[in-house]
Amino acid sequence: MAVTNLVRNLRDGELVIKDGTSGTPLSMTVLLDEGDLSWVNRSNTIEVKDRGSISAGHTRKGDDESVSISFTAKWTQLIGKSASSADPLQLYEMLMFVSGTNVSSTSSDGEQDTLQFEFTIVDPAGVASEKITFSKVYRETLTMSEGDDFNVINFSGRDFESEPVITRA
Amino acid sequence: MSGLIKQKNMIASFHKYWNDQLPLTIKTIYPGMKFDTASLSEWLELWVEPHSRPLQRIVSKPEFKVSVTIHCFVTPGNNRARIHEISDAIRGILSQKTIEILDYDLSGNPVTGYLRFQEEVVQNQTRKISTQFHTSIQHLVLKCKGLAQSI
Repeated sequence: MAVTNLVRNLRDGELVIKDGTSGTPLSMTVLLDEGDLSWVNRSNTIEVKDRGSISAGHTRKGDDESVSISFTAKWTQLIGKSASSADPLQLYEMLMFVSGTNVSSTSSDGEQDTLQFEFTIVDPAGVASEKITFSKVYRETLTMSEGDDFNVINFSGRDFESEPVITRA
Repeated sequence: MSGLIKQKNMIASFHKYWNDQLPLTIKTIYPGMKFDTASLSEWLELWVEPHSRPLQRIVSKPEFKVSVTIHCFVTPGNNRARIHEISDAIRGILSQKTIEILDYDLSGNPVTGYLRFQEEVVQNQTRKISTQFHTSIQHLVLKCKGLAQSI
């Protein structure tokens, strides 16, 4: 059996962020994310009504829409590698393409800076894990917030694809 | 679940910190310890409770919430302000402090995590029956929550 019907939950997820460096991309596993990753596949439809009537009208496919994606992670160090090359790359640095980190975009020169997000859902039964790949994620907002137990970084952006690619991991 | 902080190491690390940092010479009675307090004019009773693990991804660094409870006792005949001196001393080494968690199973006792305390809550549990107030044992309870994280 290649699928299992065990429900997945946030414990089973793992988010890895990669840049566009050719050969071996810079890669970071987000270890302190809150388990609230969310993405939305959108579909645009043009409704053509006949003098206001739906029953006599029809639909057409609308423009493609990019995928919106967001997640939250606990805030530890904001900067590492940009302050000292011996220090590990930090989440904030990668998401912000901070100078000195050598993080490169997954899009062509001249385009908006993008990253690749790989979200793996491990099958608790070990049978059919899945990987969801968002290849061209650009940042819309990055919100840093203080909290009682921990501060958080919230990323919100778009993947410039009509849908992510889902494969067996 | 690699990197999980062992509770025995967390408690041992805290007990060592407590012994090293408490700036008073006062008997501390630990859980499971039998001690006749009849000869003491003041003493402390200490509990460390690792009470819950927050919801986490399997790949995340393990962490758990910790609660420390200290009962402070001062017998009649002592300075009535003594209980507050003790309370202040304890608050000084607990409130908003971060301590190292050492792994006592490995040589060199490397640091495997940190225990970070929040603010304390102090409750006065002294019996306040007016006729007996000045002859009753003074009893304060300090509670402090914290978060233990592996590194």
